[in-house]
Amino acid sequence: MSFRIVSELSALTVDWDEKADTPGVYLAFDTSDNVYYPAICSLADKSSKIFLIKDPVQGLQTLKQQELQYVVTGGVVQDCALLVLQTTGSFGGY
Amino acid sequence: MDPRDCSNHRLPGAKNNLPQKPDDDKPEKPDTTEDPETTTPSTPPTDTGSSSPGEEDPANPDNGESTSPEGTDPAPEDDGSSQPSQGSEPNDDPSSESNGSDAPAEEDVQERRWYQRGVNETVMSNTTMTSRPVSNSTATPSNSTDGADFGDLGDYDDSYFDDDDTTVDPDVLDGIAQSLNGTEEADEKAAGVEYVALIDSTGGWVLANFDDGNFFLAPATEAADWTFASDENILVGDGNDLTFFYYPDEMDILGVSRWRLNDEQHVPKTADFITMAPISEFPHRFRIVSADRRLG
Repeated sequence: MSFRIVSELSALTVDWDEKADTPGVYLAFDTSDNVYYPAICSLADKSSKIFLIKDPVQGLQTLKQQELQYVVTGGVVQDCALLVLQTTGSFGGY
Repeated sequence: MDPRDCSNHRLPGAKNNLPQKPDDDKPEKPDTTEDPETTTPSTPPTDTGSSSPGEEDPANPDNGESTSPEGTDPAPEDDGSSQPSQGSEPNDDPSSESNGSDAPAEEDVQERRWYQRGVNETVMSNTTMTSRPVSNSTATPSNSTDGADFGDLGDYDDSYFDDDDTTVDPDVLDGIAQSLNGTEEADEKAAGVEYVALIDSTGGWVLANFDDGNFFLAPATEAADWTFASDENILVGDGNDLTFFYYPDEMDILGVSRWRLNDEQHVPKTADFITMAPISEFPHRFRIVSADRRLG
């Protein structure tokens, strides 16, 4: 059984309960409700850069293609990893 | 230390102890940047009409140097120019938009073993996301850049936008204005907007942004300086005037995209807005992948 990841995520739960300290990993949604994963890449002679990828497995390999340095990455990518982002609490608000 | 100095904020562990892979076998990318020019035939069929080769065809039999003294000099040239008149129709190269769409579409299904979740969990329906104040009615993304050519993305520019891209479509601006009117201060108080930092899985770094719109990881001790507005755990930006966006044309072709945070003046026309939402239940493999890549 091989599911597309987006269809897999459609059966998952969005933390949406007005509490900022709710655990959950933040993913990126566009206005068409496509889901993307943040990924971070270390670059040679540059600081790390953060991208969005569609497929958490294939996208990491795509970012390491050296052809993309003129289009997306802007440098020689050494390695990439998914960037798991969470929140730990509020820093104030209304 | 200036928190916006990115030179010290490397990915922890990724640069040092990960073996530097020499180079992946690069899949053949449709390198269409110079193909259309070189393949077009270079003979312009301009003066073939002046040849009128009808009456001169009997004038030149197989050996043209002995028959006629003066009239046969242009005759073999005109005959020669009449055959490549078929080169007129391949001038419009039809292959420029068709061959660029196969770049990121390969599925490796052998690594795709996600655990199937029960369908009785809470379904993240479309109405859940689109009913949010900002992601609602922010005008439709301009997905019209379907050139599907690798070269259409342009050269990489280390700045966050090109000067040509700064003009925002008026519909997008109207959508932003309507969205912002929906999240005025009174509405924010009612909705309970809070400011949160996005901390990575190691707990040592937080997501931060340069002034040019790029992201980096700042030390977690600076978390209070790098917050995003959380409206019921949905993040659309920094809460002031910066919004997340990405490049759908890159994502469609490559499966990857740059990710930026900037104000509406600096959102290109080809961009689409991004909303960050937390997912609490993950496929099991997601945690495995992220854990051993980050910590191993």
